[in-house]
Amino acid sequence: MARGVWLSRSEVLLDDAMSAGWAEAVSLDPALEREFEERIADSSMLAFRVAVSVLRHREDAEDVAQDAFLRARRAFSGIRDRDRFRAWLVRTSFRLALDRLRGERRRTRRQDAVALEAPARSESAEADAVRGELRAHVTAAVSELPEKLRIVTVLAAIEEHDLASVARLLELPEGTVKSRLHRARTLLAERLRWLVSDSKTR
Amino acid sequence: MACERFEDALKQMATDAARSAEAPRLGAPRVEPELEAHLAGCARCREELDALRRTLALVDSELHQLVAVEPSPDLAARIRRATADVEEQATGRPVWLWPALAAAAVLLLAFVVLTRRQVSHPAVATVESPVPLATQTPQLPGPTTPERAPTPVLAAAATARAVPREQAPAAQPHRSIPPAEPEVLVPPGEQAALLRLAALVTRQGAVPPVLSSVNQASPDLALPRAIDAESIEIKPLEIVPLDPAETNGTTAEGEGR
Repeated sequence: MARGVWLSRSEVLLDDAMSAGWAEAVSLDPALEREFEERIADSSMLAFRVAVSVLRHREDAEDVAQDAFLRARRAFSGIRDRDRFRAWLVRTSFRLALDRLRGERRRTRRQDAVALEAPARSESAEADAVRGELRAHVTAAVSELPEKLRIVTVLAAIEEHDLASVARLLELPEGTVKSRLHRARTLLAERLRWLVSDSKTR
Repeated sequence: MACERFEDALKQMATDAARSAEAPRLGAPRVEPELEAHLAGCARCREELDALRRTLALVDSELHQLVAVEPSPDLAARIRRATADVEEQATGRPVWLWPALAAAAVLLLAFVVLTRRQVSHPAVATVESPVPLATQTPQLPGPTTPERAPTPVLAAAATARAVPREQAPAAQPHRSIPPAEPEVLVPPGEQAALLRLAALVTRQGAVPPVLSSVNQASPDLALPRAIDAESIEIKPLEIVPLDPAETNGTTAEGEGR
């Protein structure tokens, strides 16, 4: 009986690893494939929203969501459960978005694309400018929060303050989520309090 | 002075109550009787509370608009295409890939030299396949081999793309590698592990996390199945001399077959 596997050349081994390893790592059996399809259908929006909350740029956020799913596919057998999958997806999307933002910042000062696409319901250019400035201050304050508080804040917005959902997405007790959210909001209120101190913004 | 005493309570109240009208799930405002009494008589604190609430309402409004940004309608379809077409993803080979592969090649060469040493020593029983190899890998036509040398085969881990190359070497331009290059004997488990290791190198860009988590479940890297600690020999790699003479000798032996 053969004791080993002969490959003709190391070059071949490496070359094949490039494609075989990739293909093998992501090939799923049909049942898993179907489940993965379902995850794409019900969670791609979640990945996008987490990413866009960090990146504030639609196309970049879509890239991140796609990247997160590519990684999810490779790891899918270990994160098959829906809640577990979504929690993993949130973490991964958040992390990828932060990494991408840091990379972007190194290269260039980005435009706030979403701000540029703000709803055209303002009465005047001046009102738009004021609104854009407010948004810049708010998003800056959120981005300056410690990451644990930032992700809770973002997810609370995505899940419309359903703290039980946020807790599932973060795989944390609801009490922990509530206390982190309270800390985050207190910090935001303190840092942004000046925005409403003099002028009547509303 | 009384106002300072209620500063934190005021923030707590604003934070808890800011969304209470829209989102009762956040919790109803907890109004302490003492604070309530103070607020009744202190216009300044009422204004402060109002300002904090308006601040948080502004924050909520901005965050709501941010997460309400809609992706392209075909986002899910795009993701589906991307995940289904992994070959395409693999073509985007990053800059660090070639240095990483060069390092992997050096490791591999060392591994080869060592493995052949072990094989050529009758006293050393090399790795036994835990499962009859024929059940794992397709047997391919190959040159006649000495009795202890296995028939050249590719492991199941190698893709179909690789198989025709083995079957019809002359027809493949890629096969015009000088015959002086040694063949590679990789015991079954190690062969799969090395393929995966190389794949992980291409994918993750770094080997250390892979090696250090060899025995740990790591869903992010899909490692538990990917790398079997017993099937990767790391230690010998550190002591293998890359002696050209020995390598040539090995090659000659391989050619003789």
